[in-house]
Amino acid sequence: MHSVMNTLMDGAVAADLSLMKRVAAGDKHAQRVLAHRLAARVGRISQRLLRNRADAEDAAQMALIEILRSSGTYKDISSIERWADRITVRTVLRHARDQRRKPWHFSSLVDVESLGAAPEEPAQSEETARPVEDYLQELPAARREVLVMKHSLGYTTEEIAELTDNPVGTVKDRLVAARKQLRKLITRDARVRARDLEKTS
Amino acid sequence: MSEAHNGFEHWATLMDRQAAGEQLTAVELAFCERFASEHPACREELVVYEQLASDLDVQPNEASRALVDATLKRMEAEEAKSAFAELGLLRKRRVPMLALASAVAAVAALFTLYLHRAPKREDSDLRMAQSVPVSRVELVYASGQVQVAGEAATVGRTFLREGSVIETEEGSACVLIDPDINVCLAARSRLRLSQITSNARRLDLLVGKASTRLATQPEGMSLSIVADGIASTAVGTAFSVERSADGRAVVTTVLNGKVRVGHADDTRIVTAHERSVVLGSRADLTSVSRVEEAPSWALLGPTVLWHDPVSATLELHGTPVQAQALLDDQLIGVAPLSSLIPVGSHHLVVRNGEQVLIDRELHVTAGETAEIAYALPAPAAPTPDAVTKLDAPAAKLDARSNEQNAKLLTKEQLAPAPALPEEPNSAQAPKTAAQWLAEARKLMREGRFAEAASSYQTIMQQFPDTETARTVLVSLGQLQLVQLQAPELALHSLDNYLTRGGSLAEEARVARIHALSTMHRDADEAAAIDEFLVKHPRSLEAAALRARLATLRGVR
Repeated sequence: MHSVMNTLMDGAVAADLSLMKRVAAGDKHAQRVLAHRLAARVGRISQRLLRNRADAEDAAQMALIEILRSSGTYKDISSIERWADRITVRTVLRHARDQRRKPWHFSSLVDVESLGAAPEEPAQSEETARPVEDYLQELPAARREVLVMKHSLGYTTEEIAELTDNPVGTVKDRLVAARKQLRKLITRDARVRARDLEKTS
Repeated sequence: MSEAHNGFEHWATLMDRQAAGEQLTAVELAFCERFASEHPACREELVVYEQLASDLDVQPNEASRALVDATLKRMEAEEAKSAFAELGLLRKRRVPMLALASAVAAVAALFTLYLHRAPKREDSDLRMAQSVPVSRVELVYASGQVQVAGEAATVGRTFLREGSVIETEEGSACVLIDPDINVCLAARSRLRLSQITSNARRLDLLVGKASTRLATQPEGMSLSIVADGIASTAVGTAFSVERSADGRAVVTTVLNGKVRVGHADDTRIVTAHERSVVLGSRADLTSVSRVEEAPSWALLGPTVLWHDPVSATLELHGTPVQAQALLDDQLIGVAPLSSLIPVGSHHLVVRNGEQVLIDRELHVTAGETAEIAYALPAPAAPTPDAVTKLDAPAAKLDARSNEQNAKLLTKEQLAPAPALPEEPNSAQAPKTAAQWLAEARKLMREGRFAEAASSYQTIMQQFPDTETARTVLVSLGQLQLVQLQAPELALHSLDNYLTRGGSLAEEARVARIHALSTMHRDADEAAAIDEFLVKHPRSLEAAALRARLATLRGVR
């Protein structure tokens, strides 16, 4: 059983390497195959890192192009997805930096869209009233980025520091601040929901 | 503080430490596990993190397929462009010296000829002016209350001439100036067409905000929007000019291309995605984000309706005013509305909040005017909307086959409107606040900000005593501030919230500070920051706001 698994794994790795070599050689069909394999994931990461939908779509396209163009640098030490994640994060963050060159203007506005706006009736899910994307939308960019890199992509604080060109201490501070703000949002949602429920009953 | 509260604080601190990479002790881990299992608040938080970690591996879907197509196309275009550029460079390098020498000789010969034959400068200018055809200037869009020279304005019937003043109340208006200059005026604005027949066209922004998009102008022609003596002169571009509420600052935001901004002898070039703020003798240049540009682009949104010179006119009016009009699923404005539209078939929807007043196909031919009236249906027997075709009797208006509540009428048939039989399935349960809220969120995600604002307002009107109605004031305030770029309205919403109080006071105060900043009310902004720092000294925004306060005090 063990050897069968190993054989399958080796086969998958070899197939991935072969795919990436074909992409690097400019094989249009291979490019399309790789793009289809990664597009949904790249799109989701971009959407989570950026608040603006149009920016996210633009950044996702740029990230996919970067991935296709960097295919020659792929080594089989990690999965294609993990390798592509780093390129996606770097590209999207670069895009985000270009978009916000002003130090304090609107970027620090917490989008409270629907913050206190919990449903009038009990939420369908007993546990959370809102999808996680809604919460992410409400965090300032720097906090949202570290939160996504930590909890969606599983990077360590050191890896995040490297990807964002920030000191580890800054990353830790932002991560804790992001978690505190998220907690505040979740707690507030629950409180408002309870109050409205009380009124309607 | 209760024991449970202290426990939650302790649990949260431990979880944050762990997330930041710290190893917890076995005792701490055991506490976290036990506490979370007993407290729903912890569970809610953990579920959010589980969601964050779990669903990155989404299956390919329509959106991802579209992303792939767009990406590959973009990549191909970029490669073709770079190949073309390379080719161009190579060709340049291969220009033979002989050809270069011939060109120099030819230019020299032409210049000599010019020196002998060129007329005097005045004659030349006169000839240039004569060669430029007289500009056509037209009102092509009027949404809400729009006046020209004090009279209510209608597309196709209001004549614009040099010196005309266009004024908007709650609504917007656009004029089209040959060749291909679109100028749109925001709500509560006033614009004078000061010079439109000379090569140097000049529009004076007396109050409010105007955005413009124009094609590259012919040699020798220019367009300037002047506000308080500050001219913003286009060089083939899109930009907006706005006067602050107190009239002291002139803000020019460049969306595309370049604009020369300043007084006659003291100008600077502002390029795309930059904003110039001129306040007295002080001029600042800053970068602007896409989000900040969005309201200026939105103001230019209707210009897509008259790209094609072969157009028809849509006139829409009725009660209630401010009903939203959607043409082919795009919001084109609020009623009363008068606009050029492309000829052909369209899908027209008019709605008041969530209530659909008109939903039908509309077919218009070149030059015709479709006048459409609507009314709120009576509760028991809904009144149908009515349509009158004024200028083209042969034009065809097709009712949608599945449309039950709309009927086409001639103008004579308009009153009294006949009642339609009630639809057995038409009785819908009224929406709850939560449903309105979900609708507002959806509209926000889709970038349909004016409609989202309308949904928020519906919550406030229909559910005034709920917590939700109170908290959406903050959402609405932010929406008015950022997306709709209406800081005065935002200030009103936020002040309304803060007067009543609530748990979003911190966020409301931050937004309020931004609103005051946008309106360049420095002293009020400084006072608002002072108040914020007293009330929320440990806020995550405090450091940035202290820095802002120092800048403000330094400036003053």
